[in-house]
Amino acid sequence: MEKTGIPGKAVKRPVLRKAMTHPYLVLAFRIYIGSLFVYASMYKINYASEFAETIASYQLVPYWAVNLLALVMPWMELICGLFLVIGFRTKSAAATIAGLLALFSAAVAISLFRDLPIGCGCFHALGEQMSWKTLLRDLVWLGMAVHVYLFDSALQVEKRFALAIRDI
Amino acid sequence: MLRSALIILFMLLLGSAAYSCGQGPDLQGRYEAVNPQHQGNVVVLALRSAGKGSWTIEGEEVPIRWERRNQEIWLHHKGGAVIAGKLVEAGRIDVELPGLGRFLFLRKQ
Amino acid sequence: MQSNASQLKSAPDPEQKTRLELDRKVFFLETLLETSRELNGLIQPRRIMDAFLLMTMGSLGAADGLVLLFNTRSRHAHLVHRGIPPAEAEHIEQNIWSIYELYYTEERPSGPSTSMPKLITHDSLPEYSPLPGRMEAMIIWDIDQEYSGLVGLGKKISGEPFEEDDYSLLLNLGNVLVSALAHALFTKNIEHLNADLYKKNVGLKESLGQAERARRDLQRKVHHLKSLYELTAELSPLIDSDQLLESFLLTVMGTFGVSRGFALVCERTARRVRMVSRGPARQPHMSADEADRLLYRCLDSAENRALEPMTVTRLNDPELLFEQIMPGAAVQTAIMLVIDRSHMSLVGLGPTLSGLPLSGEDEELLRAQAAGFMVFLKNARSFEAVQCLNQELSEANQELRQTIADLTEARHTIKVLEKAKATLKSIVQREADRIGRVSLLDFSLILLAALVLGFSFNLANPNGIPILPKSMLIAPVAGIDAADARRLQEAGLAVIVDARPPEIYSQEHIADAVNVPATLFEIVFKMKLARLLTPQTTVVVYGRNISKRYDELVAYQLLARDHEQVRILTEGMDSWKRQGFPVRP
Repeated sequence: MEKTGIPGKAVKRPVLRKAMTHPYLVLAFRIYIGSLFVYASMYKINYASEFAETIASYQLVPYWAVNLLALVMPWMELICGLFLVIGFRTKSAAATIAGLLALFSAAVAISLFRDLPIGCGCFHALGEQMSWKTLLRDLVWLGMAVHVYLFDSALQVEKRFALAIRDI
Repeated sequence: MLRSALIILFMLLLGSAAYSCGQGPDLQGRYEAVNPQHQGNVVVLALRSAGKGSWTIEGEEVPIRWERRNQEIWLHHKGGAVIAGKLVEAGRIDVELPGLGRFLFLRKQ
Repeated sequence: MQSNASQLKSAPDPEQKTRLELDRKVFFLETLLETSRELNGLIQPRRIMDAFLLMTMGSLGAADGLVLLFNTRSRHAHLVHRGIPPAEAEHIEQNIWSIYELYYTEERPSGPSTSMPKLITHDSLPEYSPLPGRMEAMIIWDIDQEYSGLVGLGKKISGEPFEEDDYSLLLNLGNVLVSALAHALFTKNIEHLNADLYKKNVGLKESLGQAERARRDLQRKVHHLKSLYELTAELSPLIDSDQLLESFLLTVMGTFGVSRGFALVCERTARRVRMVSRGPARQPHMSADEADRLLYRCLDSAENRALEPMTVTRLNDPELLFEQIMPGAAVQTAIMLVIDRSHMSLVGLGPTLSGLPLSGEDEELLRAQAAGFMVFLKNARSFEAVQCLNQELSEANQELRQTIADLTEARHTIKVLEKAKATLKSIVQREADRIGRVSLLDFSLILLAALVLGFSFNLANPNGIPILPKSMLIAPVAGIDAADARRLQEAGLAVIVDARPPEIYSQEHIADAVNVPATLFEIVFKMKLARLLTPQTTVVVYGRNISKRYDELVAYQLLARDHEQVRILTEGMDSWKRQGFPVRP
């Protein structure tokens, strides 16, 4: 990982990089994103019809897929969130969540462009009106998820397992 | 490692349990409001335990689920609508139905 | 009578001559008769010779005479003499055989005996003769090849020379002597022969007796051998100790003809006793300790206490010893067989048919049989030992085979396990490697889990939502076009319902359409729509977008409330607006 540039900066970069990629930072992101999604999925699972309404309000998904999506997506959020929190299959979970977030971001962006007066629907049906803040928030989360995907290493359940079986 | 993960998970579960259960029993009860459309009618809002309740109009009882959110009470309808009622003061719920008017529910018991 | 001869010559008278001659002849004959009578009863040659000499000398009147008898075969010579002085006699005796040689070597006929005496007168005597020169007459004779003799007479007492008659008398006397001698000799011979015969007879009888004994011995021996052979034949096919014992006992009892008996074999180290009995015997079984005690007692009364292996010893006082086995003084003979120090046998036989105890030879037979039995028993034992070993070997073999099979199986199992381990290891390592990676499988699994969980939760949930819209599953609601709807509305026969959410309704809606949001249907219906409707009123519902068909939802709910006249405005508000029909606001 060599970087060209001013020698002075070259010294700083590794430090910055190290800070950026510190396992604890990644861990914090991971746990945050994970618990966020677990929390977010709770309402949607409980009030599936309202979530279906929310999905419908974006006017992106065809009518026959709305309910399906309303049923499956919250559970995906829950599972991936749990995985992230626990530290199991973090890479796959992070990738899934990043994908979902990308999806949400795109939907929000489209809706914003369409000027649809709808709520985000991320947490509950009567959430605040969608705005660019929502999009930004989603993008930040996406960034975190990607970060987790790339750099997660600490507190993984599987790490212990890996250590154990390395002996074999 | 595993233990810390489990602790986190446990806390989450607790949180979600609290979330779903912590509705506050003080809102339970029977509320009545006058139908603004039809002055003669009375709409009864019954708030029972475990977030269950019913909206009775002209004899027809519509089951709803309710939850408290700070100063609001959210009523969830099976069709997919959620109505936010304001908790103005104790024993008074202010519900605004778009196109139907404002329902002032007063606690009867 | 001597004078008669001379008288004869001098007698002129022929009658007298004849009478004298007759007298002489009578004298001759009487002499001969007497002589022969005298000699008749004698059988000893010496006595014959003696008597003869006497008679002859007396009858012839010789002063001295001798008789010699030679036994050429036994080189024996007898000399009888009278009137010869002892010194001469001794001399003659010493040279007796030279005399013989003198007179006999010349004329020895080879043919049968010539017993006729021959006269040798003084004249014809050889010149150098050991005989006293005074021998006037001599006769020699042979009897067979064996005997020869001579008679010699000296001068007459009267001094007269021997006359013809004397010579013929002498000859005749000689004849008589010869015949008497011959007779005597023959008699002696016969006696000898008799004696010989008798001795031989006796000898023969003895031999016969011996032969008889030998024959009996042989017969007995044959009998013994036969018994032994029978025993061997009986025992040889058997390999079981018990069978051997029984067979032996029966054979022995058969051989000696006893009706009762027992036999036991005690294997002291193995603490085992085999016992067989025939006839009334009380105990068919005996414990090892009892047997031991019995053996000790027997040892006490055994003939030979040396206990050398493969020996048979006779036991004394068998009745006492085996009182308990065969009570009533029944055991007559008993033997103890010592196969080796740890393997002994006792055999007891009851009384024989004759009641007599066994003879020495019978005992020998018994011993021989017992010895044979011991060999067989030893063999049987060896065989049993071999069988045991064989059994053990085969068991060990079996165990070995089993072990080998187990080992093979174990080896196989180990191989399988190792393979499994290798597989598992590779799987696990693959999984371990997978930890750090992301894979499509994870996504699929997450998706699948979400699907499963979502659907099952939905199914179980009373507040569940339909997975697929109703319109996809059941018949769609009938449509109505805008013009008809407008017509009906104007006629007051229809109510147009806007099923969309209030926000959207407030933006734009068909004029005089009632807003019954699909999500709040149950609440709003009663409040707003119910009183507008009659069973005949047609309800026209509109309002849908790409993601939601509000009109369908409301239509179905209306139908569920038994409202038959429900229509959906085809192409919704767009067709209304196209038709130019009014919209609000």
